[in-house]
Amino acid sequence: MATLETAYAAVMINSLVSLLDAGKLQFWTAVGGTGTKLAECTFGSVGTTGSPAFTVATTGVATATTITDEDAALDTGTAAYCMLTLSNGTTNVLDLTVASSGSPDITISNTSIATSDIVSVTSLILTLPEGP
Amino acid sequence: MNIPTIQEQLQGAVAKIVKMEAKGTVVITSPTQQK
Repeated sequence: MATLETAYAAVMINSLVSLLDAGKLQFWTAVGGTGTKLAECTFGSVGTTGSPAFTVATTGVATATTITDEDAALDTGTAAYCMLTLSNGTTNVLDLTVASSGSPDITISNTSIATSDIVSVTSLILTLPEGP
Repeated sequence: MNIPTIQEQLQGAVAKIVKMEAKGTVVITSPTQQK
């Protein structure tokens, strides 16, 4: 099996996360942007917040910069997935699992979101494993 | 010494993408209290 060297893992993850500048983190009741959209937070971008969505990675690990909160949740329901999209809010890049326990991609304080709740993404790290 | 072909390297890279990991935290706050 081919081995992905660290420097090129960085190239790949930087290329991927650059797509997410001004992108959205949408919380849905079902996978792939189906079900009900409960909330939408926004990644940083040079044009709006002064920072790109992620800091430049030197390994396969990329850390999100400040993500703008959803000030008032759009609907009421149980969050199960988070869809990361381009800035258009419709083109899906990554689907992440959401749960309040276990080992989800995103750990949420409460999966029950109600209209007008504030949704704050306090951290997000994407990792492209290096090596074989 | 076997040198991976470009195709093999790309396949490996794609496999890594499939295995990409994500870790995040989210806090939900109602207008009156943390949930």
